[in-house]
Amino acid sequence: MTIDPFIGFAVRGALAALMLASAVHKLRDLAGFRQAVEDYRLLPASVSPAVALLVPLAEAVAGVATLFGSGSGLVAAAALLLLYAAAIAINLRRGRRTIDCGCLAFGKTGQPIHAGMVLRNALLAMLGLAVAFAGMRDRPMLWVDWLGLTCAIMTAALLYAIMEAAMPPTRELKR
Amino acid sequence: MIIALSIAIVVQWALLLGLCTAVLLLFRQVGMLHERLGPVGALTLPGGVTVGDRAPRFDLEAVGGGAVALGGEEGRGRDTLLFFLSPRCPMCKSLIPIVKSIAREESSSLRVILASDGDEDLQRTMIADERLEAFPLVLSTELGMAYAVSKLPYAVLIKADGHVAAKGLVNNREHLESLFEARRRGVASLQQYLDKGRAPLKQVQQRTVA
Repeated sequence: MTIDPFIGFAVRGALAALMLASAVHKLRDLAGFRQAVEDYRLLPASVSPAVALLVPLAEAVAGVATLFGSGSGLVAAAALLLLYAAAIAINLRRGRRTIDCGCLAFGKTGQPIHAGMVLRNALLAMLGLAVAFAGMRDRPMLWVDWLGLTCAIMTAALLYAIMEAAMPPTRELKR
Repeated sequence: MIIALSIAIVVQWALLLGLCTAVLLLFRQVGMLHERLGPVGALTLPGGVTVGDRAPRFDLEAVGGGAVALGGEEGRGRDTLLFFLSPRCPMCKSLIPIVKSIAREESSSLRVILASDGDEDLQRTMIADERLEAFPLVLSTELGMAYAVSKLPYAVLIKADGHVAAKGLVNNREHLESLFEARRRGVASLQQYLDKGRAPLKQVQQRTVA
């Protein structure tokens, strides 16, 4: 199955942007993210600082690899998204709904986890995997394609931010 | 044809980006509005009888006759809404219909007592103008001082067993209803509601739960 390069590039660009933005967001508040990793209570406390550093680095690498058109970059990004989805799902099943998601939340800190995040991450991962394993049709890209691509990626980023902003206001977080 | 399509595409992308930005800004504004509005509730001013304490005993005579006993157990097991007002306070006038409607809705479990002080003739005029004949109006400076009423309109909700359930400065229906909500939830103020389970913070001003 082949897909149009416009779609392929758009998905790659958007996922790369998401990965890079998350990486920057996490690296800028490393202490906060370390706290979030501990709050998930999935790993022994001793490895939390290392994981808190590794996750944003992995995101950055996946983002850059995706940007340069590598299929493995897309797979890595999808794997990270699925990992987060699993971590959130496990904590939701434990009934711990009020922990900080530690994720990219535009302008918000301490957004609590919710089921929508699991679904969102799963869908994004599926999209990434589909593009990674589908062949790209060969056609010359016109200027209007490049313009459209840029705009499509920006629109996707804006829509993501809108979804974040549309979430109900943050409740008190409990540690 | 191609030129027309290209132009259309460029313009549409520009419009779409603009639209998305606008929606994002709008949601940001809504978020900020939520923060700024904060919780709605009656403003609990410091001083006077503390919420949870026994209401002080007052045996007063209502304007136009009739004895009013405040504090202690209410004979018919009703809560008491003590509404402080004054003929010279325009905000009080706007709250009178709300007090009346609450009194009507809760008539089986609530008695409403109006409290004021000062010139008795003005009070009688107010009773006539606002049709307050159904509620006993007491004039007592001591009562206002006991509850440290410094601003009007002020309301105090006293439980049937004589304990103060909630009190605060009330400027609208939500504020007044928040007193009943506070009684239902058994918390004195929103701060206390949020701090439940945590060490209580010392607050200068507190609001009741809305």
